[in-house]
Amino acid sequence: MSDSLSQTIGNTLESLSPLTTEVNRFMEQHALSHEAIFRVNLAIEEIVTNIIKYGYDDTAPHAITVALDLFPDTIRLRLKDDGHPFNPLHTPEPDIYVPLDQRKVGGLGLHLVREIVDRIVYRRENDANILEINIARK
Amino acid sequence: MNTSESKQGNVTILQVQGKLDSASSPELDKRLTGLVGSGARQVVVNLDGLEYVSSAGLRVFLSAAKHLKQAQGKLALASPSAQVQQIFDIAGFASIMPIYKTLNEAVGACAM
Repeated sequence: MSDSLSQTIGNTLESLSPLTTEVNRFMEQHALSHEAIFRVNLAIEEIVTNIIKYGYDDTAPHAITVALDLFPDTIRLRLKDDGHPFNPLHTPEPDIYVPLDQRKVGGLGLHLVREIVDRIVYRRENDANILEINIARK
Repeated sequence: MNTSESKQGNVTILQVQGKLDSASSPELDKRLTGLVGSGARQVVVNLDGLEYVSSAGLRVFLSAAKHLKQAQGKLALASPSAQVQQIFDIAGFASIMPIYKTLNEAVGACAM
């Protein structure tokens, strides 16, 4: 049983569900903890949705690659897309301390990801955005 | 995701089970908007069967809490798992909508 999984999908929201089905099958085969599975799902959903909705300046089809590598203590998640340069570490923090009336309903996705993962590294390489995320296996 | 609805006095309880992600959250949004539209003002969402929530689900809760507040009503969340509670904490939910450990506590607080 391989310790790696790589999936490439098109930039449509309909591609997300088959992708997460494959990723979950892989994680269940490797008996990852519920907590790790939750975090990987959240990171993939938030980032891939963001790429599909805001990542491109045209309407052409694009490929997004999601890869998982399992190490003894860590799950490494890599996401690659050819959208415009976008560093999710540089988006503003949402203001979560304002009263309900003034609270925006959106803008929480990348904030959640930054908070629940152990490490995020962004780089731009050969006209692609590459995001490397570490999530503890426990 | 599955939802089911019940009433205890003037409190409407919406039970949510499964995964609340970008694919399923529009359905929950429709259910909650429908409840408010049909006159429900005290709404408790029971989350004890909720395995997963993403920002798409948080958006639905925020939107429902705003609509209910405008209508002089209230949204409360009940019995989230530890993982779901952690997501609520990161999103700063505790300061804008009540979250109770059990369904009974939530219903009791809303019925008052």
